[in-house]
Amino acid sequence: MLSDRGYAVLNTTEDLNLSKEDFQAAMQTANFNRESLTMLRQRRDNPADQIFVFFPDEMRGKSVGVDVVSALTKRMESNGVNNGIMVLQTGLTPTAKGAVEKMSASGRCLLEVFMENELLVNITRHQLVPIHELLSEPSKHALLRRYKLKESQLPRIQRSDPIARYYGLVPGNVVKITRPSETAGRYVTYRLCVS
Amino acid sequence: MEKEEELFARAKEEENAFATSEDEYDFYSSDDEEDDLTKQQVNSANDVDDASPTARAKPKKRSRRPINVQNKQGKSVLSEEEDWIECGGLAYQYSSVRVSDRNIVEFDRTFPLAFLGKLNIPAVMKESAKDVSLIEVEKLNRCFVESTNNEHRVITEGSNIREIHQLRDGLVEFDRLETNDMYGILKIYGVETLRAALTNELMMVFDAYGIPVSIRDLSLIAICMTVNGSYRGFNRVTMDDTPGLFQRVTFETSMKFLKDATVNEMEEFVTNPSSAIALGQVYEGGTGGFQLLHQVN
Repeated sequence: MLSDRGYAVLNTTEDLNLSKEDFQAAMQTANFNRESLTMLRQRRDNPADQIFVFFPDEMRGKSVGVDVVSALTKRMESNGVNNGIMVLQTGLTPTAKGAVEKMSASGRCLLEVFMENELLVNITRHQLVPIHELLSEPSKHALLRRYKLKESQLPRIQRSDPIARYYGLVPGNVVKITRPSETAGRYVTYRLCVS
Repeated sequence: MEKEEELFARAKEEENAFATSEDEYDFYSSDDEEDDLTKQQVNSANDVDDASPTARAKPKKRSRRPINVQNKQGKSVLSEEEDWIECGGLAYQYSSVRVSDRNIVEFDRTFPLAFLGKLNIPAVMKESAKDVSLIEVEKLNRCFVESTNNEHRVITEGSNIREIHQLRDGLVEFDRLETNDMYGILKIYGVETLRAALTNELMMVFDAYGIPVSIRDLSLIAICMTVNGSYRGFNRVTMDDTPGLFQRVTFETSMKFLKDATVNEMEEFVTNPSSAIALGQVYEGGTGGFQLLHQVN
């Protein structure tokens, strides 16, 4: 997922091609400690733009509390990282959810929450899922100028849409969607992310 | 839904193996070409004490409770819950079900001492195999296997994409799942996949009746339904949101829309194509978007 978002991920057995057996072995040596999976990755085109991926340790069947969230945000801030992904097994407590939303709203650090069972299968590999590409700010304006459009005239995609979450879209982002078409071969459309 | 169908088939084979086996006690050789033998250990002697099975085995209605051999963590379950089932006049008890490395299903059964030497082992095993479900997905009730030359499709009754994703690798081709559960697709694969799936579903509806409808029209409907990031119905209820009054009138239930419009004093500006066509006007767009100005001397 990070690779698809444009972060530098090693295309070796270390990251992408890690086999299940090796992963199991590594987890065994780490004593099944989920914290050991924490990653920090840099954007390919801008190494200063980094993202943290956290795997908070959860008590069995208990949701992650607000203290864990604040500890993680502190860690992000001390490292000067603005983006973070939290991968959870059971979920967040309501207060923790509120804290995450507040953090994201303040713009200081953007913490995204994923459930572990959502990430088991890479949904973008499904045969019916077309190619989504995030448009940069200049190309978005070029698009709107070229077709003399207002933002609101574009088709929409919800922020909670699984694909939007996969690519980490925020409201205002535009994705370019290239889908196969029986009549035209290839059809390009755009969707505006809305909250 | 596509599956590399093995486990279901295996369950079936096990049953067949029981049915055909002649020898009551030698089950280890019954199934040579496959390595999925089923081994059953009958602990008859010592386990009688804690239960008085004959007493408890009153003709309780036989409940075929599916036994989940593998739960999500791949652990064997069932041991805690004492499950008494009547079978061939015998009462017996599951103690544990395991799946060993070589895909052998093993389980222990406890019988009362009185039955020692009188057990009809094939019947017991046959019944047991029916009760052991090798793979179970919540909300999927029944399934049918459709096989073509080199692939198998499993068609299920019910849909639960999220749980199917939790099946182990190599069992199902996740990237070729298909379902008519549109809401499930929206929640798990997103709005673009929903659009593609809607187009397919619409095509299937018309194909079933042999009505030729161009894919252009159907994909336009799907695009229209998913334009706001979720999906809207394609019916007169959602038509309420469209700006053109005559567009609504021309779709369905004309009288209702006309009546409402009259009562509420609504106005029609004939700015959208449907309204314009309904009234025999030229739509002010496309070739109707401009007029020819000719200088008259």
